[in-house]
Amino acid sequence: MENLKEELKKQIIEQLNLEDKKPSDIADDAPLFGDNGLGLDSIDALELIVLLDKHYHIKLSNPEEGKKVFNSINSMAEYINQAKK
Amino acid sequence: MYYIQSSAYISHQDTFRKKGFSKNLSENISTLIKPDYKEFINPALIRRMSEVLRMSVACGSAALQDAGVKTADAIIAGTGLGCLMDTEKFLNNVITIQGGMLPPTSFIQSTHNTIAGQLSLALSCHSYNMTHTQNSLSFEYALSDAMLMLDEQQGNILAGAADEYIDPLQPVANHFGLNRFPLTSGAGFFVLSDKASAHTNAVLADVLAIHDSDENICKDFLERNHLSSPDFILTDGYHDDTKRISQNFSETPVIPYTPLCGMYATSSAFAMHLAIDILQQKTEQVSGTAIRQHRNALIINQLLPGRTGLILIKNYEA
Repeated sequence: MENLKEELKKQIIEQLNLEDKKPSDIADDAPLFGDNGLGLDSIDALELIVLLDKHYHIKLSNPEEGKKVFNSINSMAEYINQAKK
Repeated sequence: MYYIQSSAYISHQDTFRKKGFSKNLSENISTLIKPDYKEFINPALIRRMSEVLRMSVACGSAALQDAGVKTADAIIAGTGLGCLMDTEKFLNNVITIQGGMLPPTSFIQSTHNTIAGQLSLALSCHSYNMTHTQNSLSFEYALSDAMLMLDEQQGNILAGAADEYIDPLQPVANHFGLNRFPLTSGAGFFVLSDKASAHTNAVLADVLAIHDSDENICKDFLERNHLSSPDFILTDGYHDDTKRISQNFSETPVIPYTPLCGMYATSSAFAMHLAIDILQQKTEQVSGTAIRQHRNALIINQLLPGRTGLILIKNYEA
């Protein structure tokens, strides 16, 4: 699980071009969207959907589900683990 | 009369906010000399911007600041090949993600009008926003549009041009024999106004973009501006057509600008920035060419055969 979280952080930094961030700057439970966390926006949400498809072959089509899944690194890792089972 | 209130340019010379750069032009044009973009662009926006967008937004912001203008009344951009870096990224994604979902950012930002669009967002300018893409004459068409607007209404127009280099361009240039000079990137924006101000640094007297390369074009263009010959000529210097035209003015100093900035579709915007600096600073030697008079400059752009762009710049002294 910890490896998956680390991998996710690296992939997010690369996919979203977060040039000034390192994986250690992203807390596992910090919100990805909004001012209190990474400050991602709606275009980033689309990029994350593509990221899940590209790296984990998971298609996320329900927008309501997305809100929960993309809440934090923890929730993304949890979702990927569940989907793999 | 169209007054040039400010001019900001990023190129392979040290041009950005460097008054007098025409006195210190380098022969080495291997590197794009860029400012710290974070001084001009919101960090939240910068991460999504490719080089051409960063250059354009930095130049647009700097030009407005230097002209003392808060918001532009229009944004008009010229680009020959548009946002190539994002286009390349998008096409690579199409190839590698076969049939899968594609990342949206590079697709959104691969269109030619992203340059003017991003300037609009960054500068909160929601009025007229136009992109001209006419290959090597894109900048001249953008200037013509700005002049037509200023004929109809008062205001400050942000007009400029941008093009960027990507590696896949090189084999294409080699194939067409367009490899005498290095392929490079460049972007610049100018604030044009119908009125002179304390910031005015030159006058844009006339512009012509024509799909013809007849040797009388320059003569006719100068005649309609009541001139027999310009004080100096900046020419792309790439093809024999341009040499033939400039030979009609045997007494006039001729400076080829492609060796100074490299080759890209809108390099005549670099020539305009250079002409403004020469006129303003009264530079006497430019790249080994002596310039005696500093009243006006003619820019001849015939980068692509059969097409001619002419820009006449005049000195402004309040």
